[in-house]
Amino acid sequence: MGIRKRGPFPIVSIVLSCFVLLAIVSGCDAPATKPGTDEGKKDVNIANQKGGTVTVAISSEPDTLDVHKSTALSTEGVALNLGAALLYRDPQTNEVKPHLAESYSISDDGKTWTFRIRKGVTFHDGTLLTAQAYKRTFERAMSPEIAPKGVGMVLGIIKSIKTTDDRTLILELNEPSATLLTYFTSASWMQPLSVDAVQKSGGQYGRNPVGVGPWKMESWKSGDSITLIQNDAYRWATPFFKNQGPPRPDKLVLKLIRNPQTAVAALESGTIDIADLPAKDAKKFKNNNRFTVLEQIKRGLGLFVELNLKNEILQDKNVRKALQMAVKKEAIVQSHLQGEGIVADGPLPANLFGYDQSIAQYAYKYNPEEAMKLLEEAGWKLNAQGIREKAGKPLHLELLSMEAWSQPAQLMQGMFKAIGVDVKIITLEGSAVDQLTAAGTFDLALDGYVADDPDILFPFMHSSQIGGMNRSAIHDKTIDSLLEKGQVTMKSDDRAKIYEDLQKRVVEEAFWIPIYTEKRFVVVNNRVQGLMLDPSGLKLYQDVWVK
Amino acid sequence: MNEVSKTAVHGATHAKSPIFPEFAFWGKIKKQRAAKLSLVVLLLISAIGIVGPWIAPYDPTESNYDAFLQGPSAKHVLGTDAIGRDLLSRILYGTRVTLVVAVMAVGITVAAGTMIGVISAYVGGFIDHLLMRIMDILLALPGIILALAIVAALGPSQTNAMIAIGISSIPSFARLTRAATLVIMSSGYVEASRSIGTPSWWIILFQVLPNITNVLFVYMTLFVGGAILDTAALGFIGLGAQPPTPEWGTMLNEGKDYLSDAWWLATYPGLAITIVVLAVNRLGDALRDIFDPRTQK
Repeated sequence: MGIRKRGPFPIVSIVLSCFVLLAIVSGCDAPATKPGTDEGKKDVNIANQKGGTVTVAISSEPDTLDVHKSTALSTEGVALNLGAALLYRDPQTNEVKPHLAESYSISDDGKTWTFRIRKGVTFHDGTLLTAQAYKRTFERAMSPEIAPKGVGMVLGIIKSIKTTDDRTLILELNEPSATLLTYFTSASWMQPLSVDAVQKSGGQYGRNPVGVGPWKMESWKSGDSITLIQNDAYRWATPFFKNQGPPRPDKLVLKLIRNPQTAVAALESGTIDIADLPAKDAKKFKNNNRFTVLEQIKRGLGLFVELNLKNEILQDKNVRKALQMAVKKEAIVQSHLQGEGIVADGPLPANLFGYDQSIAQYAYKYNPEEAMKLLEEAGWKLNAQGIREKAGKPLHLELLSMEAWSQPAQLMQGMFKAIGVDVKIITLEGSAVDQLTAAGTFDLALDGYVADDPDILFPFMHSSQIGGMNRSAIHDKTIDSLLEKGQVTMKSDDRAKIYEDLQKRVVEEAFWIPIYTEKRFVVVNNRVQGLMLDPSGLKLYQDVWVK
Repeated sequence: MNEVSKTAVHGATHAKSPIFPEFAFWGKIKKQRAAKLSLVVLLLISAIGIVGPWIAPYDPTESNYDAFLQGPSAKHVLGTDAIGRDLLSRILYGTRVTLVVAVMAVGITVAAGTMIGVISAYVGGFIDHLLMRIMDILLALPGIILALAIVAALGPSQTNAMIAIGISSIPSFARLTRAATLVIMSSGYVEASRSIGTPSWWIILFQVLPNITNVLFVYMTLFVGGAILDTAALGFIGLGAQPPTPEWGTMLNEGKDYLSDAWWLATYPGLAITIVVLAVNRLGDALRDIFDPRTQK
């Protein structure tokens, strides 16, 4: 899944990995939303309140809206509104249920998946959604020239696609998959495309997408805004929304505002209605009756440190453990997140499937004395400058960081120095960080991810992914086999056990220094009602109306 | 030979012990109140640059985990930053960083700019043409853009920022030097020296350079002000001194996100930059007045 990675605030993430896919409309459960007004009144208003424009700040511009050619979080947030998915995850029961598929079945061996496509769904260009349209969409995504750029990699597990009639789609898989079902709930990455429109648009489909979603593309001013208009024909909202018809506002304007301070000013002046803000800025809106602040714990690690195992110094497990114990994570949460976050103990966050409830018992605690003892044992002795050295070589490490992580990076630099490790911070753009990590020429790197499934650890930790997202160059047979089992084990208790074992192994080997899971804050002008967040933080506008 | 040049120069301007102009204008500076004040402020700041590390109350890179974003108090006179470092200590340490970068940058500018300007004016012809066209091309870019390009190519660091700022103001300095040299070149004593076969290096070293020193000195002062601003500007956009080095521009950048929560973070480094640049520029203006023949009484 992809790919939503990186970035305290969604900075673009470019990730190419196979298994990464996206998440989706999985649920809008309690912590995610906060009903604006009392229910009864709201329903009355909803019936009448049509029209209006909702303006939302986006912090980075999508590279393209062709969902087969991107893995960027910025693309997902926009494309989600233009499409719909075969399946959806019920927010109450967490069960996967059919959506654009009227029904689906999976054969006993887990390799044949049959979907019955819903009747009467049309694309924005008026053509009917059929099983063939899905076949062409998937085949396009999987075609060799497009697959490496996006979801095609995930679909690689599909051996063949058949359609027996207009409404029956049959997928034959190479092997059973526990993760594909979740992928099929993605209304952005897995939405059906009008392949006719793709051909007609020449190479410009990425700027003129045509889907089956509640919103249609109207215009895209580069560097300024993307405007969507409501799709009048839309009658196929997922059942958990109150509004089953077309969206109520006429227009949805996604305005590019990169700087949070600018977004604050735009919210206050009423130029925009909705914005994601860092904790310290969102706080100011909490006591303001013109605004509602939605809070949600992000499902992922907001920050962790990857230790490069190609580096000889870091191949010593004692050194890795010492680094773990040197970090006072609470201080980072307090300083960088104003306390609005949770210290992370392992590679998975507490709100993701498979999280080991007992992890706190075996995770590393802040203990600089013990850390120094480990370094002594490993032969690293303090020199006159307070830096450790072994055989005349100082314990010097470079930390790759990005501008937005400047504070945690500097705090860690100080924490490492306290145990005699000299760290130099290299601040780069995301793409430059990717280049260095792909080449393996770094010591420590900061990273973050958001995910819907623990399989996110496959690209990060499987030995086949070295040179890609497996920046630490983790090459561990136990981890490889657990990750592989996790992908094909369908029974959820067994699967959870696999990921528990995986967490124990990862913590024991100290490959990553997990730092925190952060909160997401979305500030909404009370003029706009009914906004929901799905568990991965995507904004759902189906029930939105303007006062 | 100094005697020759002294008597040959028209007017009074260039006739004062040109090699060490500061002794000559010392008396005049005392008469200008603003200049005197600027000088005192600069001396004070330079002193802080030297002794800063000894008078700073805390280690400028050490975080106090119990004091994030604290306002000015008795314990932390100027408050603490987002990761609990003492702001006063950082500003004191930062003085040296900022001054060193600015002065070294101007050193690079003066060394290279003077050489290019003098050679260009003295040799003339094709070389003059070539050098000046290159300078023109560089002048077409605003200095800070040129500095950005250079830092981008070399990679962000304190040393590279110094080099970039130095190089970026070479063109204007070379032009000034060339103009000043041309004036000297056209004077009778240089012509006389050439006619009796005096070697070029001697003329440049003992006739041209001493006589343009005062002009260069004035511009050098003004360039220091610009260089401090450029240093801060590069630091502000993350291309100057790298964290955790306490450089004023970098501190200003770190503080800007907290303008409404922690005013002290951006205010004090901003004030420090303002005071130094103001003092340097004021002094430069005064020097220009002193050396400019049109203002001479």
